[in-house]
Amino acid sequence: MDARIRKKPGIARFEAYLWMLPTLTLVSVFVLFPVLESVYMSFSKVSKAGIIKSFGTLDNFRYVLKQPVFPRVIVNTVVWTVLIVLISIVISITLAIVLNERFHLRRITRTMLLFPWATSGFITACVWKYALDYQYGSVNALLIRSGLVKKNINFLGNADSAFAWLIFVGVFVTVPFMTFTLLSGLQSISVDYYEAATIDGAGFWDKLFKITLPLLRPAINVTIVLNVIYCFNSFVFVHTITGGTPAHRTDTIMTYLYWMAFSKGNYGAAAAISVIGFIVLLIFSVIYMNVQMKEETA
Amino acid sequence: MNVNYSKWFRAALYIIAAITCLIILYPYVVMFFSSVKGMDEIYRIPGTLLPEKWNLSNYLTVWKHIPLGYYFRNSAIVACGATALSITCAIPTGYALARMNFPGKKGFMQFIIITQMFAPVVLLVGIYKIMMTFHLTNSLFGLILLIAAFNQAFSSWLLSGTFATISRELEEAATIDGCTRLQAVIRVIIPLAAPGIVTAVIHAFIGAWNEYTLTLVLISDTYKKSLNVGIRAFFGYTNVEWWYVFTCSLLTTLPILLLFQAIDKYIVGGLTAGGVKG
Repeated sequence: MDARIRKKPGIARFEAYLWMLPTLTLVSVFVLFPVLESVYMSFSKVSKAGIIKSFGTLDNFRYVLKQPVFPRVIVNTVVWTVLIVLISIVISITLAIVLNERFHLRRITRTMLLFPWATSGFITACVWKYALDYQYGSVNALLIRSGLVKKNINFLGNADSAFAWLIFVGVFVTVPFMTFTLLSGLQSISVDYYEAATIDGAGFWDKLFKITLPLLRPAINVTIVLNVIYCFNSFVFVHTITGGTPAHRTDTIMTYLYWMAFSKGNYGAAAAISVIGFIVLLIFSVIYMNVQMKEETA
Repeated sequence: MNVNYSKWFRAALYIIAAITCLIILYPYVVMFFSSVKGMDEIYRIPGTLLPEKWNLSNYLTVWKHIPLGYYFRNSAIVACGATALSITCAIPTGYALARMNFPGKKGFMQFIIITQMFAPVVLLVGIYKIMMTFHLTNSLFGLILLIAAFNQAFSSWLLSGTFATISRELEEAATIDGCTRLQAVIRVIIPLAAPGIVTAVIHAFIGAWNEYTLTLVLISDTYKKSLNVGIRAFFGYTNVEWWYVFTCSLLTTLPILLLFQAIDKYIVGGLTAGGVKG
C-alpha cells in the first residue's frame, strides 16, 4: 500500500464525502428539506392554498389537540401498531421454525410467502376491501355457500369490527418479510446445539425455549423495532379499506394527516400532525439504534 | 432443527404450511375469479364462488376505459429510473461506509438510520410544498428523484454490508497494477458484489413499481398516473367496477411475480449475505 492511502493529509480525510455526495444531495433535498419545511409550517399560519402567512404560532397544535377525534386517532395508531407487531411476531416465529425444517411443502410455502411482499399495498387493500364487502364480498359468499352462516356478516359495518379486519390485513402483509428475517436468523444457529441437546434428552419444547428463542432474541428485537416503525408509517391499507370511516373512528395518525391536508385543506394542522409523528418516530429510532448497537457489541 | 421428532410434529408442519398457503393464495384467487366475472355476477347476492361465465374479454375491454398503455409506460419509467438513480448513488455511499474512515462517520450512519424511519407519508405536506416550489408536481422525473431519495438509506446500508464482505487485498492488488481507486471499484468491487447489488436492485424496483402515496398526491394529470393510482378510476361515487379493478391489479402484479420466480434466491439471499439486520 503506498503512503498516499495510508496516511492522508487534512482535506483528503474528507474524500468519503465526495463519494457520498449524490446520496447526501438527494437525501438533503427530498427528505431533510421536507422535514424542515413541515416543522416550519407547523409553527406558521398557513392559508388554504398552502402559503405561509406568518411564523411563530402554536395555533396549529392547539387546533389538532382540540379535535374531539384526535385521542381516538392516537389510541388507534397505538393499537394498530402494537397488535400487528405482536400477532405477526408470534406467527412469524412459528412459520420460520416450520420453514427451517425439511419437508415437501417447504419450497412452495417459501415462494408463496413472497407474494404478499411483492404485491403493491394498494392492490392488496383493494382485494380485501372487496373480499370483506357486506353485500357481495367473497368472504360472505364463501360463508353462505358453505352453509356456515345464514345471512351476510357486515365485517366493515362498525368501527371496532372494521378496525379488527384492518389489523388482520396488516398482519397479512407484515408476516412474510418478518418470517424471512427470522428464518435467516434461525439458519445462523449452529446445529451442534440441537445435537448436544438431543443427546441430553431434551424434547421439542426444551429446545424451543432454551436454545432457539434465546439465540433468536437479537433478530427478534431488531425485527420488532423495525416493524413498529413500518406499521406506524402504514397508510394505504386504512386509507383504501375504510378511509377512516365511520367518522374518523378507524383513522390512524397517517390517514388523519392525509385527510387534514388533502381533504380538509388545513396544511398547518397537517404539518402539526406530522411533527407529532416525527417525535414518535424519533423516539423509536433512538430505541432502534440502541437495540442495533447492543446487538453489534454482543 | 434438523432432528426428527414425532409424527405429530411432522403433521403440524404440513398443517401449518398448508393453512399459510391457503390464506396467502386466497386474495389472488379472488382477484383472478372476480376479474373474469361480469357486472351482474359481481353484484349478485350472495356472490358466486367460481365465475359462471368466464368473461376473459374483460382483459381486452379494460384498455378502452383507462389509458392503461400510458400507465404501464409511466410505471416502467418511474420504476426503472428510480432504481437506476438509487443504486448509482448508493454504490459509492455503500463503498465509503464500508471502506473509509472519515470525520463524522458515526453521525452520518445515525442520520441514515433516522431517514429510514421516515416514510414519505409522514412528510407529505413538506414534500408537496417542496415539489410545488421546484415545479416537480405532475412530473415523472420528480417522482424518480423522490423515490430514489427515500430508498437511499436501505440501499446504501445493504450495499455497505455487501462491500464489507469483499477482501481488501483484491482491491489493493488492482491499485498496485495502476488502477485508481474509482477504477478498482468499478472493475473489481462491483463485479464481486453483484449478488448484493441484484438484491438492492430488486428491492428498489419493487418499491418503486408499487409506489402509491406519492403518486396519488403529486400526479393529477390522467396521462401521467401509474398503474396503481390509475386503477382508482374504477372507484366511482356509488359503485366500484371491481372486474376492471382486478384485471388491472393482475396485469400490474403478474410481471413482478413472474420476474421473482426467476430470481427468488437473490431476494433474501443477498439480505443475509449483506449482513443487513432487518
